[in-house]
Amino acid sequence: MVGQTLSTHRPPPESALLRTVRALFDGWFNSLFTLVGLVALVTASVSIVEWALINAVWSATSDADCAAKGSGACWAVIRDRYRIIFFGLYPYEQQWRSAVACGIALSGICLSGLPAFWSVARLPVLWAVVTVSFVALMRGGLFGLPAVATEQWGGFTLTVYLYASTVLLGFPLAVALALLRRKRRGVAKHIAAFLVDGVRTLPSISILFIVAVLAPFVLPAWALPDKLTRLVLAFALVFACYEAEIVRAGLQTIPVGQDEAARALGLRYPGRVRFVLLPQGLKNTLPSSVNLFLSTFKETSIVSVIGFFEFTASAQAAYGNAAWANAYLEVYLFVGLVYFLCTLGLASYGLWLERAVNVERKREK
Amino acid sequence: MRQVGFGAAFLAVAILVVALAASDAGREAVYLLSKPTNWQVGFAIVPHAPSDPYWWTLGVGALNSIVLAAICLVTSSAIGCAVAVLRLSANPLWAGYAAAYVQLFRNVPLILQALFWFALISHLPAPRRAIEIGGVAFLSNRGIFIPVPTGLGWLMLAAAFVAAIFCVLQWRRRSIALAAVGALGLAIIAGLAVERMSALVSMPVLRGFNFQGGLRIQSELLAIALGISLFGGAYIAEIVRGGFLTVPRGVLEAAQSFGLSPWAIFVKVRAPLALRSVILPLGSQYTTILKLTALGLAVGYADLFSVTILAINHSGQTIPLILIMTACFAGLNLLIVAVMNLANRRLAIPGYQV
Repeated sequence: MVGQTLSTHRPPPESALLRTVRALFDGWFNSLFTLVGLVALVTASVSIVEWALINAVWSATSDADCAAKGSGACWAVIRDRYRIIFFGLYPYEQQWRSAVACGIALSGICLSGLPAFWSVARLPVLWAVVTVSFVALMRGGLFGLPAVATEQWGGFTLTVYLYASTVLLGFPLAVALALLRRKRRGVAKHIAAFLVDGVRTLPSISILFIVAVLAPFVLPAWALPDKLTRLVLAFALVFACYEAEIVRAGLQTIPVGQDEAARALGLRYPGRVRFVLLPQGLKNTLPSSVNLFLSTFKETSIVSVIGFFEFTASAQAAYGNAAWANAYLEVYLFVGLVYFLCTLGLASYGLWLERAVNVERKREK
Repeated sequence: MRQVGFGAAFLAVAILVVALAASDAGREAVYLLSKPTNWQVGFAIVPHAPSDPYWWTLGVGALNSIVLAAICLVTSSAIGCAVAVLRLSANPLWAGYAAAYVQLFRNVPLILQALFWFALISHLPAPRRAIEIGGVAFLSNRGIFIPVPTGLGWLMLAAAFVAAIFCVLQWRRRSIALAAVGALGLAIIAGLAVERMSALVSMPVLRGFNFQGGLRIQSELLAIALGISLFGGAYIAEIVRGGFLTVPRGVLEAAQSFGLSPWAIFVKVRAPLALRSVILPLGSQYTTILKLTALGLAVGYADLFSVTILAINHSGQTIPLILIMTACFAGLNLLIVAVMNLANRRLAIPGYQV
């Protein structure tokens, strides 16, 4: 053993296939482990394919009809109820508006992910256009479109709306909270710290509940926006408090010399924040921020608990009638798949972004 | 810094509570807490009736949250460690399974997972046609029924535990005779246990439309515990994996050059060092898991948050009840952070980490 290690003769490099086989089957214990895994893989995939594809029923009128037609998955429920799942209670005839609005919001999200759009001029213009067209389409009451109350918004469109407006309102607030908390003294610093730590102590669902459901009992009627807006504000607050800590951590990694150099150049505080602190600090926060953006997208699902009809609640409604009561598995799997694809997309965007920003950094040097 | 922030928040809430208690609204709130509720929550591990006062009912909710959080902390940590070890193993097949598990359970919202498990459990057959597992446990739409030790049974278990510890300790000290005595004691306990099984273990038995005896795990608790454990387990797996990756290669190579077996290297060098570097991130994950218990509301589990909402709906006393809930969560959060910080300090190896 020792002689082998010390000898200068190296064995010829193994092929990738041989290496894999060796990793799978070296020693009797590992081989047994691999065999068990392989058997499980084969049996599981055979039964999954049988259930989800071969024996599946693609069109039927109810779950009983499905059961009569085949023993597999009843995908007919998605075909029959996809409108509810994606658009919730939005008036049936008008659902194209919800679909177009959702497309607009999604393309807004995609465009603002490109570093080319990250300028003080471009992002606000982009989001002003997206917001105005989204709200005009969804609310209606203009250009002969019938008005639709926000209580009727729902489904995937509502999830996207919640997500986009949370991040849009929450991110500037997060930066403000982080900057306030970094101040050396003053009341504002303590207020920011109290708010951030207080919100992070409580479950986010309880913050949403307090703001969206209990605010009417405390605030006068004239100071109250509608329920959906209250929810968005609460969500933005929760997001901002978590993101503020990430931004603060990012700002802390900037060497003090940077700030001092900017000061020496005669830059005032707003200039230092805009040209020195934020560009470097935000770059440092990328991995953690992407994680938070991801979990915020998943967290929009908790509003289903307090009576909003977003994607998860719509899924419950989709199988919650007499005809489809037993097709719950298919509905949840489908909705889970959509969430999975969205978060996977966001995650791979995050990886791409980290690489893109790194490349930029290398080019600078 | 973070601790100071938590502490400040906690203190501010405490001051608010005191200020409120001194005012008229405060006196009303104190009166409310001592008033009977006339309603009852669906799950309690302590005696609970509609005639209980509000403070007791809120306590039942808090206890339910703690029970749920405790279950989830243990199971998700176990799942997380197992998956992390699998993911780092040399076997590509099982490493792939572990990676797939993490991706799948981390990228789907927890609430959807909990609703999924709840729907799955509610569609299980009725107790009469319950699914049997080895004739001792039963899965039905009323929850899961498992055998549970009786009072005498717990006593026997404790005795067996003491005997086993004694046996191992004596064996280590090379006093074979005393170890043999311990082993004999263990054997006697085992023999008694087999002989008097029915007195020591309460088995679930079908009587009419439901099971009697044994322990019933409610569908609501099961669904939310399963959801949080699998979801949290995926996150903890990533944290633990990160911890294993921070163990310097030089340390492992040093252990190898001492001639330690791979198993000994894992148990004596790699795992202990990895454990130390994950304590703090694990602590923040634990506070997250504590907060996730509030989603028990989605499947109807009577945790602190849902009991608070019920109390608000019945009494209309919004602000004091919200403050009480906040104080409970802040206190539990602080407790977790304090314990993890203490563990971090106590377990630190001088000179190894700054």
